[in-house]
Order: sequence, then C-alpha cells, then structure tokens
Amino acid sequence: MNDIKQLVWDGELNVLISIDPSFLMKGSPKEKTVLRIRVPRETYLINYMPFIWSKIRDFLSFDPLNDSKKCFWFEHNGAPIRWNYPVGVLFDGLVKSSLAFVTSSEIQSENVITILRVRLVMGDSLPPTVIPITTSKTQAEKFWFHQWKQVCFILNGSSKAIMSLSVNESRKFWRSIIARNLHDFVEISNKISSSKPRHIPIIIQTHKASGSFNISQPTVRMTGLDTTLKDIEGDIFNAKEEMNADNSIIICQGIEIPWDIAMSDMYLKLRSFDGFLYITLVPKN
Amino acid sequence: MILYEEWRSQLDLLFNSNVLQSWALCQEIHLDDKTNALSLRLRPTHRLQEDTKRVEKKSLDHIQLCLTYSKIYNEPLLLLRIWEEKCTENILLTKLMFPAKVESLLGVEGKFQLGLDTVIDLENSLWYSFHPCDTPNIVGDLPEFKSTYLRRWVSIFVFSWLGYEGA
Repeated sequence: MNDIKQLVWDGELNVLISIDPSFLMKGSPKEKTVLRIRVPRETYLINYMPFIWSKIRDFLSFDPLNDSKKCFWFEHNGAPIRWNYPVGVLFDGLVKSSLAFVTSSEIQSENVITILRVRLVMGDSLPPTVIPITTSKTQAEKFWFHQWKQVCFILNGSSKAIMSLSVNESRKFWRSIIARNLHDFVEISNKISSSKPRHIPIIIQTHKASGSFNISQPTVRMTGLDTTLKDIEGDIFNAKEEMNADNSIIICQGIEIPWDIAMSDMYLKLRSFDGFLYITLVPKN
Repeated sequence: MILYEEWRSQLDLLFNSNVLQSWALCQEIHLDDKTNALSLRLRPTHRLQEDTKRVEKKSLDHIQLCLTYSKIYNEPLLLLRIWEEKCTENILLTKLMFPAKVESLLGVEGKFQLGLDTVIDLENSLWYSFHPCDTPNIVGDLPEFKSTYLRRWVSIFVFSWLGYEGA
C-alpha cells in the first residue's frame, strides 16, 4: 500500500499558466505572459500564487495584492476552474471534456508531453461557482483544514480526532503538503482516519453531454469491508442521468479503476491530500 | 444532531410561526420546496452598514441568508452572502462582497467560524458557511428539548449577532 501512496503523492503535472494581458503594462515582454511549471497532482493551484505574482511583479499594471476591486480566477478554455479541488482532480475532470490540452500539432505527434493549460484572468465580479483568490497567505490552508474537518466527521461521526491535534501537529500537517513530506502527512492523517470508517468521504464529478460536469457528494455508508464501487452504483449515479456502470468508466488519481474494487481499500490508497476520494465518471466512447 | 426529517418538519413550523416574517430586518423570505432551503433577504443593520463603510470603504446593499441542512454533520446549516451596492457609469449594481476579515466585520469573531465554499446542493453557488461541527454543544441537544432545536439554533446562529426586533 505504501508504494501506491508514494506513487500518488509523487504524481505531477506539467502546467502552462498564461497570464491575461490585462494584468500587465502595455509593452511588457511576451514571454512574461506564460509560465511553465511542474505541479504535484496533490496540491492546490493557488499554492502557486506567490510564485506567479513574483514572476510578473515587475510588469504588473496594478497592485493585485492591494486592489480589492478586482477578482482573479483561473480558466481553462474560457471556462472557470475551481482551485479548491486538487490539481490532479481538475486535470482528470478536464482531460476528457476537451482536446485543448494539446495543440493541434501535438495531437498529430506521438509521445507528446501532456500539459494542463490554464489562464489567470481577472474581472470586476467572479463567475458564480468560483471561490475568489484572496491575498491571504492562509486561504488555502484554512480551506483545506475545513475539508479535513468534514472528512473526519464523515469517517468517525465526530470532529474530535482532528480537533485534538496540537497546534504544532496542525502546522506540521499543512507543511507536509507544501514541503512534499509524505512521512509527516501519513503520520498526521492516520491520527484522523479510522481503519473501519462508517462512511467514505467521496466527491464525484460526472461528465455531461454538454461538455460540462456535475459535482455530487453522496453519503456512502460502509456496510462491510468488501463493499465495492459496483455495490454503491445507486449512490454514485444520479437517477435522472442515463449513465451507469456498464456505459461509463471511473478515473481516480489519473488511472482507470475497476468497478469491483473494494471501497475501503481504494479510499486508503487513492484518497487525496484533503482526505476526500475524488472519482471522475466518463462515458465510454 | 437532528435527523433530516425532524429538521424539515421544524423548518415548516419555523416558517409558519411568522417569527422571521415579523423580523424588522427581513425584506423577503422564501421557502424553496425543491432545495428545502429557507432564504432570507435582510436589510443590513446600521452598525454593519457603518462598519462596512469604515473598514471596507464600500456600501452594503443587503445580506442574504440561507437556512439549510448539512447531511455531513446532520445539523442545521447557516449560509450567508453579503451584497454591496456599486455604481458603474451611473448604473447602480449589486455584487457579492468578500471582506478581508468577514468574521470581524459581522461581529461574530470568536463566536462562530466562517468559511467560503461552493455548496453542491445549491448548484455549486458560492456562500459563507457557519461551520456546524460544534452545533450540539452550542445549541444543546438533550432529548427533552429536541422539539425546539431549530428555534434555539436560529436564536443563536442568526438573532444573537444580527439582533431581533419586531417589524
């Protein structure tokens, strides 16, 4: 199991961030509008905001850290991206809905490097489903800790385990994400987790025919250790949708998962750094 | 903790009691049978309006509350949005406001913890949520007082910081 956890933890994506020209002074060098970075799948995109600001600071047409009138967010192909999901989950959700991850020349060539392309944009008001990116240095940490509180409650029926962490342990837990320290992450997350969870914290994104996707968070009760994804098919699929286990595939942590996998095992191996198990349902071609 | 069915029944009782309709701050109230959420449009208190001008240099238009249910915590859940008034090219608009220190601005610092999140059951819309994990300790969930759980919750989570005065 530790090998799988290590592989999940080490997973990275090439991310190309293009900066909307409205951020920059006229006449700024074109190369300043594009940043290429490698990002762990298991982190938030906004953890890279200080890096992004530092790279374009000298060319900014305004002060984003002190201008409260502007809102910032990331987009992919003109559609807003929710930074509050792990980067790998964003990628899994977008990769099937769009071919725009690769340029037309890349589509034709073999062995292309897969790149998550996002754009940093701004406006006077936010898209309705996007959490604003603030200048607070603790925004991501606070959000992430709140996610873990929910996870702790879902797993154990109370928030006692996470609320019992010392201040030092809480700091060490978040630092493990930033410093990519799996040992510390596992040590603290094991204090919150239960070997026999009552429910599984799961978030599902489902592709719709329109190219967008639905998000759902069903309550998945564990009736036994051998409960499989197939057993909870009724919880996973919205009755109104035409998708089912026969005509769709499951993607988790970037890989296709068989329907007969045991939920508890899958959760412990493939859950994300915020404690949730994210699965993406994609219609079979 | 309150079971969903019991919460839903107490929500109807709350709505029909006219306590919220009679509240001086309440401008609109709507019980949505589809989402099972009670939404309220509130006139901001004088203190909140003044603090927003002083701290945020903005003008408040209204406060939006949504009383709903957390299936994770099995507790009532209070959601909040703050709308500011903005004049652009002589046209008055309202837009969502995200204060730097929302708990301090609302005067609930140290009392309630607020987080900004997208709410899946409300079409992934953006709300401040009052974290409900301490609710049983705050409200008290002894069986003999269970029938008034939601009324007591409203009194603490809503009226304790916004104040209650009849219209």
